[in-house]
Amino acid sequence: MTDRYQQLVNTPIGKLVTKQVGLPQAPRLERYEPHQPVISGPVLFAAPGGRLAKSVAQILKAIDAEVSTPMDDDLRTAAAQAKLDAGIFNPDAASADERFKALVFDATGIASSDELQRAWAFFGPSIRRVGASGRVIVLGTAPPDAGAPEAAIAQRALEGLVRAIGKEVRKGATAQLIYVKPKAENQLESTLRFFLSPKSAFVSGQVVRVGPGVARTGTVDWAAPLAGKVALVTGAARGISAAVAEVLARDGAHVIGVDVAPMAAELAAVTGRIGGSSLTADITADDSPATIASHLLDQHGGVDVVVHNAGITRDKTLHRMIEDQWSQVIGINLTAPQRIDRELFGRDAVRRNGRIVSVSSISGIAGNAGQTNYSTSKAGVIGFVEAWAPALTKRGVTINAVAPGFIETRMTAAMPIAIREAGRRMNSVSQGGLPVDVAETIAWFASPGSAGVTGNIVRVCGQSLLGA
Amino acid sequence: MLGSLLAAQTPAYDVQQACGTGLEATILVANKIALGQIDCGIAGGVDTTSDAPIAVNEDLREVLLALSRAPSNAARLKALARLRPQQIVPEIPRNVEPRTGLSMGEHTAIMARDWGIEREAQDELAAASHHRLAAAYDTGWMDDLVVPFLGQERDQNLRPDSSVEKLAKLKPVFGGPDGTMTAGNSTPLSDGASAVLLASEEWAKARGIPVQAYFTDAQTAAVDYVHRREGLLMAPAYAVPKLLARNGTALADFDFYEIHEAFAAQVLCTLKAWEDPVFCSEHLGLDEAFRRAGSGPPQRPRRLARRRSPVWRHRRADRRVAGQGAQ
Repeated sequence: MTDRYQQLVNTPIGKLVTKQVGLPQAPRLERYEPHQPVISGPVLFAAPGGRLAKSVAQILKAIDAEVSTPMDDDLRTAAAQAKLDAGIFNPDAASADERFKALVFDATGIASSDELQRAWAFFGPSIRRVGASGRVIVLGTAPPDAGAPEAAIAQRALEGLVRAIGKEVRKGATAQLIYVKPKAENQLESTLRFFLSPKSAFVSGQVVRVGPGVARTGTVDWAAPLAGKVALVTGAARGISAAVAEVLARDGAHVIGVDVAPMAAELAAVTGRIGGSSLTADITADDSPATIASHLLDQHGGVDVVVHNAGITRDKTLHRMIEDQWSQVIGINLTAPQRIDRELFGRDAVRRNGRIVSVSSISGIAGNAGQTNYSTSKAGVIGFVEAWAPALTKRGVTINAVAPGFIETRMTAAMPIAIREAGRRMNSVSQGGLPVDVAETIAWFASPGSAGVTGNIVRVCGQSLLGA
Repeated sequence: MLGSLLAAQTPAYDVQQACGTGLEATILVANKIALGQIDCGIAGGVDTTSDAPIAVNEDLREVLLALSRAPSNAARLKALARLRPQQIVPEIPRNVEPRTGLSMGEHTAIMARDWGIEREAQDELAAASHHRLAAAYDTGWMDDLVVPFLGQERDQNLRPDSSVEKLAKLKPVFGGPDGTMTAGNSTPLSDGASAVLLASEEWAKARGIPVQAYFTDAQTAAVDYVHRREGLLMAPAYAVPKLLARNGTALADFDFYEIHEAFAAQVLCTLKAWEDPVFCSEHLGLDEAFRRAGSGPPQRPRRLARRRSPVWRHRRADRRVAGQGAQ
């Protein structure tokens, strides 16, 4: 699982050689440590005519960030109202070596393609000031909500800007676009916190939509957002799923791991370590959904977070694939989550402000030779999220999916070296992600603060070239 | 006092306040008059950089002190044996803040960056200041304010023919190669002195001395530029709002306000701070900006015209506010 190339290029000689030869740099990405601040460096925030100035200022105040803004009276007034003691940044007077950990640009005020110039004017003098593991976040209005066609076009154009910035920034910096629905300004905090923090280390070039909350959130304890919550994680024994269980437990949840009988010992080790509990079940068995629902209702009175993480691969090119290989993959990856959800909702086991999180894959987006079954199932997961999001909103539940790219696990370690290296390097940060990167993204979806985040597919792929 | 023409029995005292000695001396004399302790007093300030005292080397000082304390010849010899050739190098006074090791100019360069003050704006203010000061001399406005001394009749820093174009050619001297502060928009270190006669109204009336201005109130402030990130020369930005609030008045009520500072950047930082909702809310505790944004740089006071005008006399109130930086 160790990435020897990354170890090598991060030695002084390795850095010199890779720079001279033009090999990928594979910078070490900052990752979250408990009790760390959301962001560990100055934030530059601009909002020319944007409607999110006040909300963002309040969030930056809440996370105690060191903030600078341009001398824009509306923005300074918003900052003053939020009690945010922001400094001033004027590129014409700034020191050449002034750096920012994050650039946050509220682009909601951009209503035509001419006005996109404001984005150029902001990022031009600031983009090279983004430090290692830096963050670029553009906030917009999703085109359907933008009103006039001119505004919708300009807002859609932001996607291209953000994806290109993701490829231009270096040293492990990332770029995202967050579309915030009008009147959903108060739902932004959990998402902005996630994308500013090292928790989103391997997420880049993503477009996220934040809408009105599906349920009342109440006050969120950001140190332990899942305290008192019950989380079900399927396939919890290994790799990504073990990391998911650990991160949800770190955030305060009681985690119930579900895995098949042969994995019982490994599963018990994971859940034991985090003070959770385990349930042995084959999720494809006819009676499993009922068993799971009964367990949740009897033992915990219901469930708050369901993570459909169990998944398998049975790789073969299509003409060599036997039916079992096809149906097992579809059954576990795509059919089982639907059956479990149907049972849980049928018996009213998912509590209000509940969360369903599915795991798709970059294979489901881009397609992958030798993985027709897997790609089909993972594309189906996207359909699962899209199909259920509106109905679940009415029940006060969100549903989202992560789509991991190349993640360093036993599965990827077993790949042939050429395919493994291609998978690792063909992204904006020139390395594979870690299971914890997927887990942190799931924890963001799972947070009670993320009531406005539903129907999203977020790739955890370091902005992989595949399917982009 | 004994060397002056004033009565030898006149009490005198020295005051020292970084950047604000003359101001503080005036406040002290005015306070004594207001309390009825004295009827009149002269407050003055003086600064010299051409005639700065040079101290002996710190090592040499220790040796000399040991020598003067030595009780016996043997002890004196022992102290003298500690003399070393390098101790002859004197302690040259440097224009730096002892904690930060930075000069006022370097500190102001930090402020200029923090407040995003551009080079052009500084050069514009510097050029305008030169032109206005030249006009003040030319129109005789300074005649009864400046006393010629040793042939010096005008401020030697004055460059009447200065222009934004000329200033733009200068290289930065503070803030590194990409700094915005030059010798043109910063004031050189120079010598200067001033004095003002302060008195109670009765005292002036009894002697038929015309009252030229009323001293109403004053305020100094200090900032923590070491531990908190406040700029070294930002104290006036705190002092003036406090002063005006105490007197129930606002900046807009004044006909003129004078910001007397060594760096164009300092003046612009102060004005920007007063216009900035964040600074006004977070640092001054105000609900709205202290100064209306975009109301332009302050006018040079036309004191001569104002003080002879009926409005000035009838209101009998100080309609000017003057500020000077103090650490």
